[in-house]
Amino acid sequence: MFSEVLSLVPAGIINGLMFGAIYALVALGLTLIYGVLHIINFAHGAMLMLAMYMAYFLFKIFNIDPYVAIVIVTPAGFVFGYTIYRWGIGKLSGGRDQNILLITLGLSIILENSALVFFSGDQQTISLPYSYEAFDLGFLYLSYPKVISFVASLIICLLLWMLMTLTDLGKAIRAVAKQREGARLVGIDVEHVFAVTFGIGVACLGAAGCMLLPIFYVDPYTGNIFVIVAFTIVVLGGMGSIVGALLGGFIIGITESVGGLILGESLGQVGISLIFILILIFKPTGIFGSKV
Amino acid sequence: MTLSLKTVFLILLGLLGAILAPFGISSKFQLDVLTMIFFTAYIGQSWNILGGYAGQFSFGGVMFFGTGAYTSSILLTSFGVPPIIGIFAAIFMGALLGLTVGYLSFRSGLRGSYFALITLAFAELLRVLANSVEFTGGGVGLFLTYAPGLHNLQFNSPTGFYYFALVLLIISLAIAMWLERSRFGAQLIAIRENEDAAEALGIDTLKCKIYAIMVMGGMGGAAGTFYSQKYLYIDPPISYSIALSVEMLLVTIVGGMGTVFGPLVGSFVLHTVNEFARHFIDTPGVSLIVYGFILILIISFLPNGLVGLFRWARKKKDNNDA
Amino acid sequence: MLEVKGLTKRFGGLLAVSAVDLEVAKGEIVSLIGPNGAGKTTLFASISGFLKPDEGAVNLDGRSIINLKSHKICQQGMVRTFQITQPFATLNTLENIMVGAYSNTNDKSIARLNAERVADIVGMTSLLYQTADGLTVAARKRLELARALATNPKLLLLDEVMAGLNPTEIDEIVEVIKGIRDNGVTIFLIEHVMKAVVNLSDRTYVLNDGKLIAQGTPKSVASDPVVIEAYLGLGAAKLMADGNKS
Repeated sequence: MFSEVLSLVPAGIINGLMFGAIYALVALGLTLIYGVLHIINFAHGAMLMLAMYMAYFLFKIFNIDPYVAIVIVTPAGFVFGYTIYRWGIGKLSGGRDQNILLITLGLSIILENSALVFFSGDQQTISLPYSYEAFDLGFLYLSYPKVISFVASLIICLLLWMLMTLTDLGKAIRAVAKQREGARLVGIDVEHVFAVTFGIGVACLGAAGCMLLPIFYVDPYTGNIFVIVAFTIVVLGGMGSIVGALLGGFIIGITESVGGLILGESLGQVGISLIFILILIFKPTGIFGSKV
Repeated sequence: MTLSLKTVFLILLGLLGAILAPFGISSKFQLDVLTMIFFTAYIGQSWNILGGYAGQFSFGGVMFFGTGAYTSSILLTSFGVPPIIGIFAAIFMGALLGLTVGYLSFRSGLRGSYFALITLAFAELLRVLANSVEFTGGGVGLFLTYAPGLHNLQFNSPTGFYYFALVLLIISLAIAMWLERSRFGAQLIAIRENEDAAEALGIDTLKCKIYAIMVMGGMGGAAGTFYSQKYLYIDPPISYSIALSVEMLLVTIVGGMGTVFGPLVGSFVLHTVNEFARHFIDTPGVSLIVYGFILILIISFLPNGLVGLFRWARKKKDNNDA
Repeated sequence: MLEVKGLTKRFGGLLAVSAVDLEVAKGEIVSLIGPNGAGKTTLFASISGFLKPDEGAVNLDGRSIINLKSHKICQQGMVRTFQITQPFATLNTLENIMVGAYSNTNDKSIARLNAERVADIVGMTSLLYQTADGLTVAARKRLELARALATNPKLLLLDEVMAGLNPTEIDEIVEVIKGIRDNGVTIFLIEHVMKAVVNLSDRTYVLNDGKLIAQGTPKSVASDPVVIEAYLGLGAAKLMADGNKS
């Protein structure tokens, strides 16, 4: 009995890695937003859900393959994020931590229930021509979409890393993250950088949404599922750390997958919440993070 | 809050009105709406103790409700304990959960968003556990037998539950009123305003915050028993989903955080909005969309809620008269 | 009353306070001066439970308070004020002071009476119902003082209570502080305003770069060449001495 389960572990690990890359992408957006703006975006999960719906409708109505749709949904996510921050959150919150908390909560309620009203509560899935084709690894079948999602997520993470380290914009963002007032003093338009960062964070969700749709399902509550996961990853890897988000994504993905195998589907989810709670209690700065 | 004669009179009048209401309202539906308004105001007040007075925002308040509901329900279905006793067990378990979560969170120094997040995680953890474990009925949930009687805290008419909810509401208002004139309340408010300064002035902030969350937990536990006895069914989503956590903070923020009547005012407003919305568009989720907008608007423009607005207007009037 | 021995506090590689020994006897007013960045507030924070010292001992009336949390230290009779005032913003003056008063009593009316009495000592009776966030800087400093006083301390740690006050306000608060001492409270204060230091203190300690470089009466400390150099730079003492000769 135990050895049966044990033999599934390698499959669980690989599976976890696949999802882990996507989780990492979701977490990247969140950790970026926290690292620069120092706000916790409660609407992160809801926006992921919206991205998935967008990819869904692009597929259903215009027959656009979700992996192709990335080039549409990602910029759309950026625009949405930029706008919401610049003319919404930034303006309304007056900068207070508690206010932003509640405003993003309100936003997530609005988005989730709008989806419920307009798209109904039914779970939607899509099937692509290649959905059922898979790589045969012997002990595991890896469906094409899973692999494509994995690779694409890694590429986007890499692109993001390049953006942050190699471009002027990236430098400006990191400057603002480290020293808000100092950045302002050297002429950086801090509000704009905040909005851009928020936009990038949501753009990550756009891409992640496209990659999740073929291998998961979407309904108005899909966001909730990923919210705790994303927060756990960010806290595990350290708020504001890109490398941490990546590693955290993989760790969580594997934990969830292997945990689900050993403990059964629903108890496997316990692992995530538990990890989250334990980290917050014992090491809130995470593996790589700096301040709490 | 020093009570003027006028205020005392108004409160007594309101109380009288509330007691007599069932005789004047013939519609069972309307009576039920009023009952749930009281219920939401009650559970909102529990959030108010920790969030409004002590300034610690919890996003996981539902966990006390759910734990209370399961406690009294399991005691009833598995051990035959009548809910009139079971409700005290529910209160105890709620307070115990509050102690646990509070100790773990506050001892680690979690504040602000981090505290909100960890309460969310605790609620989620409990939901998954309730879903996976046998004695809670797992995903199927628990069905309670219909057997009206005071010992069961079940009533065969809406009037019974109306008075049950009214009693809970009155207790919650009394707790808040006591808080406002007590040393404990002053300490909670000090913690909210400036925790470091409070600590410097001799307030054991850890102990106070834990007491506050225990009160919240105990109150939430009783709410759970009320709910399970009224609807005769609970399951993990009902018991631990975020919806109720949001509702309790929403009514308090809209009505006015850190005020005695804030949650009640907020509850009236939001339930009215709900009924209105349902009248025009009877789709699930519409009223929640409105709630989300209301939350954002209130936080942005009216952070002291409606009670705050009322007080501001009255102060302006006093200044103008003077 | 207060005994500090060998107190050391590091922040990473930075030695903020280094092996400081000092004493404050009952009934004294002792001041702590030194250039900016000398470590004065860090020292205060380390002895009052806000920071954990890395080495050393702190005794209040013979009992060690070094590992106690600040609220416990307050209950033992030592209270500190903050350099940057920390009022309870939405509460009024009376309510603010009552928070301090509540540390000694459970009873609201007693706390209220004590608060009113303290407000009178500090000269804030006219401002009792003014909301804290509407107070001027000078008033906030008094509020800070009043709140701490309301806890009925044996030893009061005042951190730059005169910063930001004009000369008249300084004179007023000096009188208030003298009055507080006359009522039996020992005072240990950090100050930059020399006039106040000279007028108030029985003794002065001088801190520079985390180390104690001088102690004594304010007069003797002011003419100590080591102290002059700490403030004015290397060679300043000789310059001044030469200047005095010619």
